[in-house]
Amino acid sequence: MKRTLIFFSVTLLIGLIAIFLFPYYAINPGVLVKGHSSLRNNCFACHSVGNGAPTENCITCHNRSEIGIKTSAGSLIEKPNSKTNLLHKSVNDIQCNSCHTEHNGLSTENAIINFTHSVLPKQMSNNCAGCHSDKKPDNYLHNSVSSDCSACHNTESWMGAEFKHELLGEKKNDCRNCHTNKIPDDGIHKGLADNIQCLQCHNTRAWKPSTFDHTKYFRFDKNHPSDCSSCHDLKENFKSYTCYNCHEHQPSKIASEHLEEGIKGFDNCIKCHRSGDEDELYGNKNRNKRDRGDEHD
Amino acid sequence: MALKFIFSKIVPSIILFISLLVLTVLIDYLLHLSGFVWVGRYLGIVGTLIIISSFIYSLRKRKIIQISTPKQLLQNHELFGWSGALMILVHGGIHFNAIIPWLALFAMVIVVASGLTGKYLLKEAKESLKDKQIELKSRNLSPNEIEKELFYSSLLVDTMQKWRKVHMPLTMIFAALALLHIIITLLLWSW
Repeated sequence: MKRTLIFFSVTLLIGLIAIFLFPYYAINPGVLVKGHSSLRNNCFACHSVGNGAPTENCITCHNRSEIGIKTSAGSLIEKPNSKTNLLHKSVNDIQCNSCHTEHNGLSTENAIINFTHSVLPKQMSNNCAGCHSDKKPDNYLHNSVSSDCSACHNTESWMGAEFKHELLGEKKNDCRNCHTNKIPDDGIHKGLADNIQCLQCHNTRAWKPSTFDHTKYFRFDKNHPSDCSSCHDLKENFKSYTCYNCHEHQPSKIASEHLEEGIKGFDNCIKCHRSGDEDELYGNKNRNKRDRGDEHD
Repeated sequence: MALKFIFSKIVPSIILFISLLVLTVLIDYLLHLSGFVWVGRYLGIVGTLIIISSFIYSLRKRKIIQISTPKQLLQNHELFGWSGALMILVHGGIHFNAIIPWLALFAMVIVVASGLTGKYLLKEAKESLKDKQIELKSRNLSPNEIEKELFYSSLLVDTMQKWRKVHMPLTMIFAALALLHIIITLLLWSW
């Protein structure tokens, strides 16, 4: 028992001597940041017993209102950083070690471990441009919205934005200003007059589905599917169509059926037929006309 | 015969020791991968408490306390010593900073290795004692005479005493270094 106690005591003694003579090598939890290398054997310059490294010890050397502008020795920094200064001036109630750690390597960058926007006072966290003014893109979209970045962006990342078209105000109807590259190169869209607004068919949540109602022109069914090429040969002009692509509607057969009933001028099928049902003619008025034999003239 | 001896007696202890090191690397890697590195800090506290609880065996052996049986407590000592060491190894991670905590960690690994050696020696000595008992029975000695003979047999006691002369100082070196690390952390950390 005595022997084991001797081993314990001797080890303890050697350890204590090492701690007092070479504290940095004996107990430091990681490489001290370069700026504090002169303090590496003076733990209590930053640490207090039972209280870690309290802010009171940091501000003994670092004046919060001068951070980013002056060194801890009071001389002017060659390249002052107004953002750093603004930040540190605004966070009086925050403990330095909430964001900083000094035992994480020589580089100052490693000393910032835990900065979150939540530590900022409200008036500062709402003023994104105060720190990020250089990051606002110079384009139509960003020039059209207010300077309240948080309306779309969050503090986690710039890219995770949630854009709401309502933020554009009246400009939200001018889709072409932003979506110029997205207008499809097809007959439907190319043929639209400039005063036709995208919002008449599309909405601001998604391009598809649009509210374009083909039923106004022709109602699809299983024999008349919605694949465009069945009826529209020319992709450039969807106003052009033909019903003769189908075996059922051969020109000679159609002609004989119509002529048999005394119907002339039947080239524009959808003028009367807006579905696959041959008895469902467009409007009773048309039906009456057909019955009278003067339709299609 | 030699192979049988190696596989039945030495290999189990070696496997326990290697699995301690392999599991440490694996758990440390998983903690880094999942962003739960901070867990390692608290594993140090849990591991220390578990190792301290394993010393109930030592108190019982020295008759300072009278709970449970020495056999049961020895099993707990082995289990708690191994699992506590695993947690502390993960706590230490693969970082080479301060000397005191690293020496403490190194001493702990040596103590675990020493403990596994003791486990092997105890098993070996018990088997030798059993062989001697069979031999005494074959000489047609009465149960009383066998017991008397075995009582005077110092085989088991001698082996373990010699081992303890190494194991206890190693444990004390580990305890002193760990104590220094704990005190320094308590003093300088922000709690």
